Amino acid sequence: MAKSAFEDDRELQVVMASEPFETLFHREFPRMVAVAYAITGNRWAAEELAQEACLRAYRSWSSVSGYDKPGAWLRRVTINLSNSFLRRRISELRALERYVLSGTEPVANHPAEAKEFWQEVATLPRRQREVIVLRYVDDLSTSEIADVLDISESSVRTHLQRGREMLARQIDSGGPQ
Amino acid sequence: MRPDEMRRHGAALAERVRREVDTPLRLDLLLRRHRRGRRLGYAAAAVAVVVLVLGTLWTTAADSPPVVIEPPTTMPSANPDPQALPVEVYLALLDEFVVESEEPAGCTGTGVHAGIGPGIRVSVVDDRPDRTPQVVAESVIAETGALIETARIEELGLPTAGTACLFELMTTSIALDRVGSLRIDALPWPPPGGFEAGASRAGQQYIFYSKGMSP
Repeated sequence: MAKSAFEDDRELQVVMASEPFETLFHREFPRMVAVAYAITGNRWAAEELAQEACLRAYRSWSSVSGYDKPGAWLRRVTINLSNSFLRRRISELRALERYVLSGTEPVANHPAEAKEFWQEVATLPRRQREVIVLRYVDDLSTSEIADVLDISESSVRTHLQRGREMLARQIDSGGPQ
Repeated sequence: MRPDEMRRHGAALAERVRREVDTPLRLDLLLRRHRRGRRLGYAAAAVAVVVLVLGTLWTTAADSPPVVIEPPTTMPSANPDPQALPVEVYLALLDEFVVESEEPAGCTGTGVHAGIGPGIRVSVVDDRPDRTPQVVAESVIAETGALIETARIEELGLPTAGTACLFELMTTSIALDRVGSLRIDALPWPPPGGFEAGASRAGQQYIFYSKGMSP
């Protein structure tokens, strides 16, 4: 089984309440970029979105640093920003299609490797997509995902199971049904 | 597709991002962006404060009643009816009358005529925004008769909504008997002989009353 890129510093996920912002940033920023990338399919927007999330954390650091899990707060903000970006982007492209373009324009530029997989992830329902990304990109446990998304662990397991099934079905059949 | 394949794809993506992202540079950019945002915030706050202060001053100036120079309560018998004086007309034109002496002409009399003579510069402030220095000067001349000549009219550019101008008195008299009173600021000299009305030391505010109206 492949080892997560972040598995080595997994213990850092237990965040000390009073750690400096820089420590959090160095640990979490690449992860947030990866999460945003997996959701939006846009590599450069992902960096901007992750940075925006970190900037919000920095501006409110006196509050955020006091949370039990600032990393979970940061992930939630990143995911929300990514969803907003995706929604806006899709709306813009639909409008463009309607008025200008005759064909369809790709909404995202997914990673070249396993492109088909990420394209299928992007078509999943929002919650399933978030759970899949947090599970397989950010390598979070079920309970950690539940913390980030503020839902129960059983809901996480359900979304994860359904997401997996849908992905497997779509990929095995060659596209969304 | 099996879960381990999904995990492999996710790990590959995360590893690639970790390789590509320049985290120290991004942290530097974030801090710069924060500082820039804070500077913009300060600038916006400063602008807001200035606008607020100016707005308050403007409102205060607009709401404040015009300066009304009340005629002295004790009127000599020579001028028994103060209401007959065209004080209202004059005050409607001018809010303030300030005389600064550069070349004191000396005391030529008592009361209102003392110390006001040729070479004394008179600045007039009119708060009404539609007034030009020329109009203000002409109004003063019209209201005071021929006792003030405009050797020159200069715009002083006071921070008021209206205008202000500078006259040079060419005669020894100003028609204060039609005005009611005249405030003189910071005379640089004690007029010889002093005044019967008001103080006589430089730097103080002098109140001159029109002829026959001294308290």
